[in-house]
Amino acid sequence: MNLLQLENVHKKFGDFTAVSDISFSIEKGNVYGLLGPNGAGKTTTLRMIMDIIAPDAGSITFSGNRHVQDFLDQIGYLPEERGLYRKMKVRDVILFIAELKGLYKQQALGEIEKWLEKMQLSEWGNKRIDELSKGMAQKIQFITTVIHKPELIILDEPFSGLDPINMTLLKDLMLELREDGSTIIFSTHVMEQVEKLCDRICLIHQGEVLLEGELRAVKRGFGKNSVEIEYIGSLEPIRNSACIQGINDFGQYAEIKLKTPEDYRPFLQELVEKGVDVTRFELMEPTLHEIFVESVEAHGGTVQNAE
Amino acid sequence: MPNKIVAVIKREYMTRVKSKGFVASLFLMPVLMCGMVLLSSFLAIMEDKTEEMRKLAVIDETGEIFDRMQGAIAKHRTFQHKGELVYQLHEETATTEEERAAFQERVRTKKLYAYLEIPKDVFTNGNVRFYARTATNFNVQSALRRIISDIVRDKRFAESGYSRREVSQLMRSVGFNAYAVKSGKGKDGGAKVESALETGARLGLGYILVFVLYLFVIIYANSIMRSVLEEKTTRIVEVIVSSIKPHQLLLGKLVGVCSVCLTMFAIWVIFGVLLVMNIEPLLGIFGIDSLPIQFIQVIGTVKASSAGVLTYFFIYFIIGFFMYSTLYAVVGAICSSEEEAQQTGVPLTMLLVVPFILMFQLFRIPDSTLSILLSHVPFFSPILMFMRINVLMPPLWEILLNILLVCATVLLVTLISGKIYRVGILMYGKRPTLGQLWQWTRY
Repeated sequence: MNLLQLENVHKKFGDFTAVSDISFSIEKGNVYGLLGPNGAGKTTTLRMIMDIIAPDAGSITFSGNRHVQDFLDQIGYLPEERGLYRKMKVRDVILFIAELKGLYKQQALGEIEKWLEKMQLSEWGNKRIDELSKGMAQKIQFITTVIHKPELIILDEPFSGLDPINMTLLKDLMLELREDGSTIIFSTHVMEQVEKLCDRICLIHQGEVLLEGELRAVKRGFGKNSVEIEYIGSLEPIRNSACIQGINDFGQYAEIKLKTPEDYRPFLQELVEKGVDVTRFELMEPTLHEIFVESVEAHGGTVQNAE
Repeated sequence: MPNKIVAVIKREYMTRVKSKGFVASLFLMPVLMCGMVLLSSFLAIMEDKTEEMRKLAVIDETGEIFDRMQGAIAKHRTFQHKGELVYQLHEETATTEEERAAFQERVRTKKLYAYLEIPKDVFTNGNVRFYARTATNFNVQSALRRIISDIVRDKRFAESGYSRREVSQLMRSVGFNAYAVKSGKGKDGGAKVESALETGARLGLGYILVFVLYLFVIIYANSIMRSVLEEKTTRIVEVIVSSIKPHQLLLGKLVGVCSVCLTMFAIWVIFGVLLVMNIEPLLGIFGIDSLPIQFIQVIGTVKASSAGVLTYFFIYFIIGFFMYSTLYAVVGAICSSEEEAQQTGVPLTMLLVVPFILMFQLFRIPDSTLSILLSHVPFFSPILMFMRINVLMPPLWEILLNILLVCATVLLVTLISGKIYRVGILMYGKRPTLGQLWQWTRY
């Protein structure tokens, strides 16, 4: 059964349509990626799931129940903008939020120690939040999100502002939580992480779903119309080939987009005929980044900040 | 299932009670209060004392007053410091305007402390003129006035054949004692009355309490505003309202902070009661055995009236606190920065300052229609109704009706504010207009 299901959800703010007719469902134990450029409606969608704002139309069900607000204690939520009570001590902040999530004090205290140890922050437990570095505060906030062992974990842009080490740490933690049976939905516009983590993705743009499905199926659907070649000399002879849709030349290495997946045969022939000295020729699966850019551009949008 | 509101109350309460500010105000407030009372009474009796010699130029056009003035000043306390005369009188003459101006210039350049002109017609209707660098040295002025008046009167008496002693014997005024008539029977079976001193003691207690009420509502309502703003700007509010309903969060905050105030009051009341109950043995330690009758009267009044006054104080503090704190919480919720919130909060502060200022005028006419009407304006009641209770106890039914009226207002304010708060804490950017606020209440 689906743990979370959204059906035809709409949300307008005044004249601005933030979310239009979004539907998707998340199976228990999956990691679900909500992708889209800035302003696509990801945060609005997550806030509606959290019952922070109400949808204008459509339904959101948790374990088949329409009253998500009755299950909020089984959900952990990391908002996009981070922040904690600056003047409070680390342990007190975590305890406060754990109690808000329905944990008893004794129960929470044990969990707090476990998590602080895991994050290597045990010595910082009695410091005030404003004495911590930004990265440490982010870790503390992640602890407050998962301290009550939620069934569903909602992370809004969890990787933003993290250094590479903490990014890896967070990714490992997310996989660990999935092993323990948690279901995770997270939003991002950083595609690399998604490829490593997600079971399913949903790509939204201007409030509408462009693509939804299992990550592998989505990729297969796009076909292998990308070629990577390594060469010596110049690519000039084939630059105007009828098979090529786009070319990204790095000097000795190039990523080439073909017009159709079937074009790879005539293209290879052309390379040989025109005397390009090719040392490697490989058919590539499209990266999620390409799918993302292509889908958005196909709908008349441009992608900014898509690192 | 642990109670989530309790978690909010606990957090609001503990972070404040554990703060240095709480401990500091717990000790400093009574010290400051006593200090203020002592300082103001000290300033009231403090005179313009000097150790330096002050020169006073006198132009005596009558030619009869200067010598006698010098004799009188030598005996007058105002002109002495530690038994030494510190004022020097110089007889001068000035006939032209230029000469007068020269004396005034010497006053301005501090060569003279003051310059005095006694006109020829001072015995009939002329005015004495006194020039000094400031005209606020009232004690010197009034002493000089009294001395010169006495000299002038003596001459008038002598001319008309009366002796001064006889006249002052005949002219002495009557004793005058004011009593406030209270309900109930007095000790001697007559009506129960209260002397001016007892009224003063009771009013003093009332004033201190009104001041504490006003101060604490302002300070802690602002504290709530800042805490709402902090949750909003750090976005932690999104996590909180995904665990607990906004109105529960607001309620938890109000109850938590209100408990902080009540804790502080409770500590003060306990100490105050212990102090008043044991005042005699306590003073005994300092070797004071017999107390003046006035002091015993004051203590007696405080003992007798504080239970009633304190009860009303707590009632009006709690409802006043909830009314204003809810409104300040809304200000915090609709603003995005501290500066913006401070500005937006000004009209609310006015709602508190206005009755506090009016109180000083209205307490003299506690049963005028104006006083009664204003005291029933719900936003003014916590201060003005409480003031009326202290000055002239209104009938019980009127007080109860007022409490009911204010409670109903608080409920209404909370309902509307709760809705604005719910929307506001999740809205960022431009502050909403009044029209938008009205829309928010209908979501």
